[in-house]
Amino acid sequence: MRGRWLIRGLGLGYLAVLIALPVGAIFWRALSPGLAAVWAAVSSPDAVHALLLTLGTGVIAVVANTVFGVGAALLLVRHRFPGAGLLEALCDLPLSVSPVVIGLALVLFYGEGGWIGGWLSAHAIQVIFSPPSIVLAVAFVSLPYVVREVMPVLQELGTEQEQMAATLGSSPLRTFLRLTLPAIRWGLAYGITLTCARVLGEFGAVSIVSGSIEGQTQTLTLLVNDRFSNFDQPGAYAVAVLLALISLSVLGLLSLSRSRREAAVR
Amino acid sequence: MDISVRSVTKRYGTVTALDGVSLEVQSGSLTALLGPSGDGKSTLLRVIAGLDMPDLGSIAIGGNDVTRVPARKRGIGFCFQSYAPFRHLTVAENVAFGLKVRRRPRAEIRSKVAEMLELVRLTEQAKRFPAQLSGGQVQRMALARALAIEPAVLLLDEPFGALDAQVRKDLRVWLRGLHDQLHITTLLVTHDREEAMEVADQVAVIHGGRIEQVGSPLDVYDQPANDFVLTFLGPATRFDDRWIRPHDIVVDRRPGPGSRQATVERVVAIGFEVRVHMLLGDGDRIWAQLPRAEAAELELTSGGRAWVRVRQVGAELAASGEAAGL
Repeated sequence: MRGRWLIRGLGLGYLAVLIALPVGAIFWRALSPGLAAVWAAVSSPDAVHALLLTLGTGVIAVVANTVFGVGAALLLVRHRFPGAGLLEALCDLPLSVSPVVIGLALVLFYGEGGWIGGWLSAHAIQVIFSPPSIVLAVAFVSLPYVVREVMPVLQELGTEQEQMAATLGSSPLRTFLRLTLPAIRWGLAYGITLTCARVLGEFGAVSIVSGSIEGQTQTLTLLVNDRFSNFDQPGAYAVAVLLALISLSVLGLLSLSRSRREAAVR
Repeated sequence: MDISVRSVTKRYGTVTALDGVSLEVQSGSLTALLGPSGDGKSTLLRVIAGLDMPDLGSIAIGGNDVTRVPARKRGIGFCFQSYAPFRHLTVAENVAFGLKVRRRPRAEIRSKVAEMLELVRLTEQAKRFPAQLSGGQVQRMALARALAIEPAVLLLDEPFGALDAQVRKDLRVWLRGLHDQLHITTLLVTHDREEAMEVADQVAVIHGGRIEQVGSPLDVYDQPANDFVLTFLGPATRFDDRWIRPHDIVVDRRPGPGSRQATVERVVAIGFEVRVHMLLGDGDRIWAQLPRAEAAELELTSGGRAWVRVRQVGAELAASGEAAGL
């Protein structure tokens, strides 16, 4: 009995010191100047622009990685082909490479004087230091999550239900939409949630590729950093809290729909 | 509609699952594909369904060559051994799946689903999910789902494999009744000889990727084409260098014409049957199967003497002769 309480206490204490208290502190400090000041800090033109830029680039990256992730998971689980090992390794690569390195790699490839940078600038397409680079950076860092969450669910699912649907006359597309997608939906939802969190919070790669130009290529994380470095700490805290709230609401949405569904089945 | 399998060969890598298999399934019949596990039964069923493509040979259903027709256009009803229920759909939605694919009018789907659920006695479970059903109910749901599309033929892979003994027996009788009612050409895969004998009009014995024999249940039991069929279809014992059914050995207390002397080693009573294990003069061991009353009359005890001979009916087959096999 005592051992169980000890383990619980240790676990909760660890979480408190590491996560709950620091996050609580940020909320505390952010809200202490009063709601009017907080509202002013998050509704200034640069903050609104950063919010819209973060959401806009984020949505593109999340949609792209969702489509790619489901496709790659289907390919890796259902088919044997030469290069499967390489594809799987590449899907994991963003997890093991520092975002700073990813940012530098993108600059080297797409930037002025980069491998295809010359061709891009010849066609008047600017990637680096403009919003497309932010999409590339956040898509890169958040690529593994959907693939990794969907693969085990597909493995568990097997192929018999899909073969059964085929014998009943169902086309592959219909089978995917009516059977496979509903069957993997919770793994997929979890993967998308993780992708969103990663996309919203990315700092290192984005700060290198975007140039953090105020009112143009500054995302929320970059804005927090910018204000913090310029001794506008209340402003930094306010935006940080906004960022945290967006992430938390994504997580909240997932657990809400999940508990509803469980209530419906029981 | 009839099914015609012509010289089908299917290999998986270096393993030959089907080796030149030919089989005719008559329209309206119930045929059992009987054989040991892993000897190509399920592969043959999958090839007929279009879930696997044969390397050689052809498949015709109702006279039309369907070898290159994809599964979804063959119009067959298939039941997997696992039943492959659509887990996130209710029983009624499972049964309706094939009809919705065919874009039938809503009213027609509703009445067809109701009819099918009635047929498999699952009307009360219509709104349940597969996880809330018993094994036998899931099996019946899978059958209703396959039958709802009014398939040309019904293919069942070990339909009772995953059920407990009593449910199996009940469902066997029920399936035979259903077949007599619908007359849909049915091919059923099983490794259980009793199941094949009880349910089927025709039994095809498959072994090592080849069809060994096709015939009525009694034919294959009484006139097995070779040693494999004989030993697989029922108990067998060696007597005078040939296989024989233990119930075709006559045991007597006195010598008679053509009988040989034996020493009783062990007498085992299993329900109504008694198995008598004996040692012959030349050192061979055989066993005979007797009804309980007959065994009691003979008063056999271990160590006692008995005379044995072969009854002049039933399965007899020379082990060395034209019969191929073991």
